[in-house]
Amino acid sequence: MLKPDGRIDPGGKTIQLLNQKYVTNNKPATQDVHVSGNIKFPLKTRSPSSYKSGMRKFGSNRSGARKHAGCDLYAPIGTPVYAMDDGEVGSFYAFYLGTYALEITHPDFVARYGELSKAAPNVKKGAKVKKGQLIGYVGALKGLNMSMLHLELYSGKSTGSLTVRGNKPYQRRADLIDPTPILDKAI
Amino acid sequence: MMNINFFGFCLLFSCVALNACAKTENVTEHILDNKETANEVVFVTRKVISRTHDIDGDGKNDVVELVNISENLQALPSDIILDTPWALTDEESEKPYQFKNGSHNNVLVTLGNSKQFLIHEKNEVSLLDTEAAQEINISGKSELGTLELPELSAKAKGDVIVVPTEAGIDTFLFWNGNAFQSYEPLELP
Repeated sequence: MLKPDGRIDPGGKTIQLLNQKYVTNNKPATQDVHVSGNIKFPLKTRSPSSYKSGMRKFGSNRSGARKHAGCDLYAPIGTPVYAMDDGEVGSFYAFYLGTYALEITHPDFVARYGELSKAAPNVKKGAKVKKGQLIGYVGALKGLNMSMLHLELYSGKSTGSLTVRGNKPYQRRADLIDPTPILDKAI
Repeated sequence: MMNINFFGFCLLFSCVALNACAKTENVTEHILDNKETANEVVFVTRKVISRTHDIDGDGKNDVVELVNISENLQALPSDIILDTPWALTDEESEKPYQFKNGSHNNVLVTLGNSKQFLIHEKNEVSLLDTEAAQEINISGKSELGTLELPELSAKAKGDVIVVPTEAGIDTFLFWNGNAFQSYEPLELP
């Protein structure tokens, strides 16, 4: 039996208990993306805290009936983040609690690499990136004592801003997809 | 003949209406005019968010605007108080700070007592420049209880400025009695 230890960092028992509490069986958004070829996993290693469980998983509950629009890949602050495929850099902007997000249009999907501390040098709007290229670094969520890559994927069938406040419960563009199957196959 | 009479009535009505509008605009003219200093326009664009909320809790209506500063502006006019409520990121804190202008959005609050505050983010990449933040709005003090944010409710002296983020979580700017302060709920995106 797991007992809380007051720690909400990725290794803490309290966060694990909270994660268990919030796990739900939400149906993911429609999976309508066919990925051709190999996709690169955006981090060098896979965290033992799976992006398929707890609050890290796509569709897990957030406050105010909001649902998690991506997968959280726990990693220490400063961990390099790599492009999942070739692509073109969109914008780099403020995300939340002192972190930033980078949008890249890949051939089969659009990715929002969120909760970064900064983008890699030369990764600027309009730049072309290669699969596996360093694109940024994991940032710190100020006040939460946690760090991760928050990854959101979109099929690219819609246009406009990725965040759409009125589109509940994810508050995201209509072509949001569950990154889990793509991350599972990524190498 | 009837058509001419009708046309005349419309013309007369339009003149009266236009006159009334002009009078209304005159009231806010001093607020909405671009400030000028040393022949430099301070604000290139100004979008009024609200004229009917009381941000500092003094019972008077305040004006909240989203503004863009001139690129060639070296310093703000002395009657505008610069407020920078967001903490600097580690990366930015290592660099010498320079007042930013150009494309960066700022919030300009004109209080009922005519004091003006420019709420400005010192970080190179500003929360106010995101697409989500363009939906900036005001939440009444009486509505704060429904947000279930007791800390914000206790600290804010009046209505609060809601700054939506790309994460889908709203953040807030509020008057604490002395200055504007930022409040970001500790939530996971």
